[in-house]
Amino acid sequence: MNSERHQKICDVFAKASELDPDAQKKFLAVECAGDEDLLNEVESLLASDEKSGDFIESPALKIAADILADEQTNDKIGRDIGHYKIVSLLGAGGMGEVWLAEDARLKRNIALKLLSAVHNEDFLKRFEQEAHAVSALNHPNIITIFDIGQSSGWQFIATEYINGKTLRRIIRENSLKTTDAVEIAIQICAALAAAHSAGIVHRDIKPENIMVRGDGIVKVLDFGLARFSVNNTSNADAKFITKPGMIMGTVSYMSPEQARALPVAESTDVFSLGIVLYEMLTGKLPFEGASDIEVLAAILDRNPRELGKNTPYSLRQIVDKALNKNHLERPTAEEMLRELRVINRNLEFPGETISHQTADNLHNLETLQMPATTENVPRQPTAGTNAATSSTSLKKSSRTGIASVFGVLLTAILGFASYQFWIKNHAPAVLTDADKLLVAQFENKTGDEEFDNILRQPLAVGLAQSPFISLVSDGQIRQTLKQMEKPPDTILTADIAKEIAQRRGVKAFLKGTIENYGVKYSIALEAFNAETGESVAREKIESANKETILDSLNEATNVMREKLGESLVSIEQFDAPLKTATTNSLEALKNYSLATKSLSDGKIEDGITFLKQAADIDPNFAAAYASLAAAYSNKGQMSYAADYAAKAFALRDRMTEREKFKITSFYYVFVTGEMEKDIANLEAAKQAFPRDNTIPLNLGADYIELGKFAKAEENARQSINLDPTIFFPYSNLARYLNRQSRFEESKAVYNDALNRKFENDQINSGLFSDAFALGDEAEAQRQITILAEKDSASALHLQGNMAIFGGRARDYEKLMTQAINKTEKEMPDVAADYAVQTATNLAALNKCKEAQDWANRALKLDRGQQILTDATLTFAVCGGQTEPLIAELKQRFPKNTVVNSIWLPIIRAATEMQSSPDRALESLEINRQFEGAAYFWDNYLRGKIHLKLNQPDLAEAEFQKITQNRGWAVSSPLFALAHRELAAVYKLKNDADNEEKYSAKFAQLWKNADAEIFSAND
Amino acid sequence: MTQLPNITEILQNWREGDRNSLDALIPLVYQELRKLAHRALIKNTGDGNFQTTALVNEAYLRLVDVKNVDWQNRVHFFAVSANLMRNILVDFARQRLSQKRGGEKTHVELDEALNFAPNKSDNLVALDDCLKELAKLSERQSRVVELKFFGGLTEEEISEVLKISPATVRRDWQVARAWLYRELARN
Repeated sequence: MNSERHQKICDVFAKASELDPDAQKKFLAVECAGDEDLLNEVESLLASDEKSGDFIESPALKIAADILADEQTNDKIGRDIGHYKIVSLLGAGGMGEVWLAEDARLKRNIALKLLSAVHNEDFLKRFEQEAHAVSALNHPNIITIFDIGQSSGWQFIATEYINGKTLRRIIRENSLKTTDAVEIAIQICAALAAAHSAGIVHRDIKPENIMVRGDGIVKVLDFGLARFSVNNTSNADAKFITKPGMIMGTVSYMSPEQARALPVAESTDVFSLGIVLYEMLTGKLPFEGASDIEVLAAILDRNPRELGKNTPYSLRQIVDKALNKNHLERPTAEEMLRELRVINRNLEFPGETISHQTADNLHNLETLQMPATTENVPRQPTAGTNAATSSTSLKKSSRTGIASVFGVLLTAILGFASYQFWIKNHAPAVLTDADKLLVAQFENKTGDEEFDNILRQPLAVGLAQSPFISLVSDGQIRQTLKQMEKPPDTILTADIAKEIAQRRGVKAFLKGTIENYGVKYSIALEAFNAETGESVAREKIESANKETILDSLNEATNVMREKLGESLVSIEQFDAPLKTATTNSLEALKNYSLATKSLSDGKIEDGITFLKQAADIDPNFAAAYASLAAAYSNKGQMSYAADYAAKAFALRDRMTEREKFKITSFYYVFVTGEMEKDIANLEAAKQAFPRDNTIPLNLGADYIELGKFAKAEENARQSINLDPTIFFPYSNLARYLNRQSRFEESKAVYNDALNRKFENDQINSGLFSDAFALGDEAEAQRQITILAEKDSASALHLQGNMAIFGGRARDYEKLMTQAINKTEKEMPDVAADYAVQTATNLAALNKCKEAQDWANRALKLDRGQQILTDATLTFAVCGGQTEPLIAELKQRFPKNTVVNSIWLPIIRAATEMQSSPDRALESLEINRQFEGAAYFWDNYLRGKIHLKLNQPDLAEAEFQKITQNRGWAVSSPLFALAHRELAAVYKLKNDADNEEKYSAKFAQLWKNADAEIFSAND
Repeated sequence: MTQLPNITEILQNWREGDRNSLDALIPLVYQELRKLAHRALIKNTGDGNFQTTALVNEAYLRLVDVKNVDWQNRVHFFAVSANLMRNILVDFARQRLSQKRGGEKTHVELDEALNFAPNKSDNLVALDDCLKELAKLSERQSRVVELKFFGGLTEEEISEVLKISPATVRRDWQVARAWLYRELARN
């Protein structure tokens, strides 16, 4: 072929390619007539043209760059850097690429960040220092750094692998809902608050540095590392500007002080977060410009573009505050977090419009909270006078629950996940986060009985502080021993431990030994494969003398944690020294061990004596105070419990992270009653220790107090999933379902618990409540009969509940009198609870003289929070003297959520409903956030006030809430009364059909009611 | 931006007889390549927030500082720089090829639906070979490809360099693409 021929072909091709297929065919037939070769050539070029796609449309430079990128990826995949094997590329940023890698020792995925450029020694040193500082941050919203080091010429950081998307991607892919944006901002803010309190400033908050996991957990990356970026401003996802010849960095999230290159403080992060939040809300940046210079100018001088009216006012305000040009006037991350939480709560309750007025209420609310528990403590309804299941049996079992739980707070060997061993070619045992570890005996070979049974608990504490280790709880060990027909105090020798481990599907157990040689001691730890009994890891540390034994145990424990497969960085992160986390005194430890044993045997008094001795010996023994608080709360002596909880809380920094969460929870629930703070605390705990079944258990109990039924249910289910062998989450779940009027489901959960061979009075009282609500009188009676054999006071109480529900007040008083007589001496708090329930129920029926007598009787027996609130309510409803009681409530429970946000508003409304119905209604507004938590009282009072104000539609809505939500208070007489009120409402509305219908229903419910009440209330 | 000499200076030196300046250009191109490769990695992981085409254009603009070339030399510079880029990039691909395959030449696979496979080093080399063949049939078409594909020039710039109308540039480009695609597929 020559040039002319080629040119001819090209000419024909050029013309043909512009034609549609038919015309093309005709054209070619003419042009190539008699020249088949020409036709073939042109046709093949046309075909190629069609198929060629974007062949060479990208410039060669790009193609070469892709080759290089590909090569860099392929070169690294499969490579080992340290003990990390690179799997695939996750991303690339200013500091280098981030790879998914496998930690060969722990057999887990990690993210490995490799520094891209070659740096000098000084740079690397500073970098390592910063990374080490950051790795000490331990917060669920901050990515965990496992390891920092150099290997094969690479400087690397190994972090937790986050399976999720960057916020950048999320913003790009969808427009976020306001609630989601706030939720994400809260988590970023929580991370910032934690880092700031540790003195670490992020400096580069932007959507690229924020990951959101599939489950909604947000993780902030690259804390403090921004300044080590290749070039400070030009980061991974540099915003490209159109000005030719220039690529500059992401300036869009810079604070004014960064833009001026001034020194920055924590407030720079708040500003950047403000921008991120703005962008999440609108999809746009607050400061835009055609070039980076213009963006910077906008950041420095311009006000952000206003957020639209779609954004709630309070949210607009917080964004404005965060974007203040003056860094001194911005809120701190902590303050912003608080405000965002308030906003979030408001958003969660539809119908709440966020206005100036409600914002004030919310601020008040911020100081209020509710009660929480510890381990297995199912919480009793706090201020609910009418809860059908509030019985002595429940109270008693909740006590033993606390004993078994918080009593052994220190041991913290409470149901968690576990560990798996990889046993390959005698490689060291490695745990995964799927298995459990059992702590067997700590054998004393010294011949000195001082060392009997004292080291096992500190060992368990040391092990349990790791989020990766999950120990079999002592309760579970006792349970298994029982199945093995062995006494609960059986010594956990290797053989016994192996059998327990096998029965429970636990892969490994750990045994300790202490020996002495003259004045020297040796501490040995050995881990065994539970299936084979083979030793898989061993560590022995010498102790020069008796005083250093705990240090040696500490060291041995840490080495063992490493041998079991935990990363050094994790060990460093969770490294509360045993002698501060427990005590440095062997004598105090001895007492503590004896106390734990006594408590788990149910000997609370003995336990308290030992604990007090332990605390006398070492006044800084935080865990001893925590156990004392638990023991007293189990005895129902809440003021002592609160004192000790406060002491333990003050010493919480000495404790391990896991126990810190627990004592914090205990403090908020039993000392201050700040439910919302406890919810935040436990939500954080849940993220840090996701396999700890006690955390969702207690979270559920917190949520139910505030009427957050769905959240409560969700957490109870999570707790069951984490450990299906524990009883309490079942009974909690059943109760939460009952509260949601899902009685059949509730029944099914109780029956499931029975099938699992759980025995507990709560099952009977719970099944009673379900049967009663479902109208199954025979079954209700049957459960009462079963209960009567075990706990006659509870049975009487339930019978009383049936009576008062049906308006049989005289029967009710008789039954409750009997129940109180049976409990008054032994359990005055329970008797007081019965008395005060009687008081409020009679007040509901307008039997005010009797009601106030009962309230006074209750107050003589006990002045706990619930007794006091319910008694005050009784006096308020009956027009009695309430001021001194309200003053006492405010003084004793200034921060208590349930008192201040639920009951005081109701008490205020009851007091004012006659004189000032508008103010009474206003007072009840706050209760809308806790609907269902106040056992009908809020709805009932609101309905009555609306009726009085001649607002039948509004009244109807309130009373209908009651009739439609029986589970909110199964046995409350207000249920029947709401029907009667509805008849009145429909009369007012001239709706004769409904009037008749509700009159008939009321008559049916009260068919056996006392005649005089019936008429007195008519 | 960089301590390395600007391509414009290099080309000036080169024209003035300094052949070694070609070597000075290579690190400059490689630096751009590495930057682009880094960007490509980000893009592959789905988090990129930039336009690749724009970035590549930026890179070309940095390599050939159009504004600082006086008008009379423009044409010459464009032509020379495109040819230099071609040499450097094809060499780059050839090195990779020889590293991977011990220098052994292999066939290019181009199936029906295939776009230019960017991860195949041999394609740049094979393309260069085909382009040489095309030059024998139409010097102008091969120059259009060189200027556009290797040199990163726009149609207007090519029309300026080759002194042909933009429409002709477009037609040449289209047929040359089809021809090269066919030849690569045939090999």
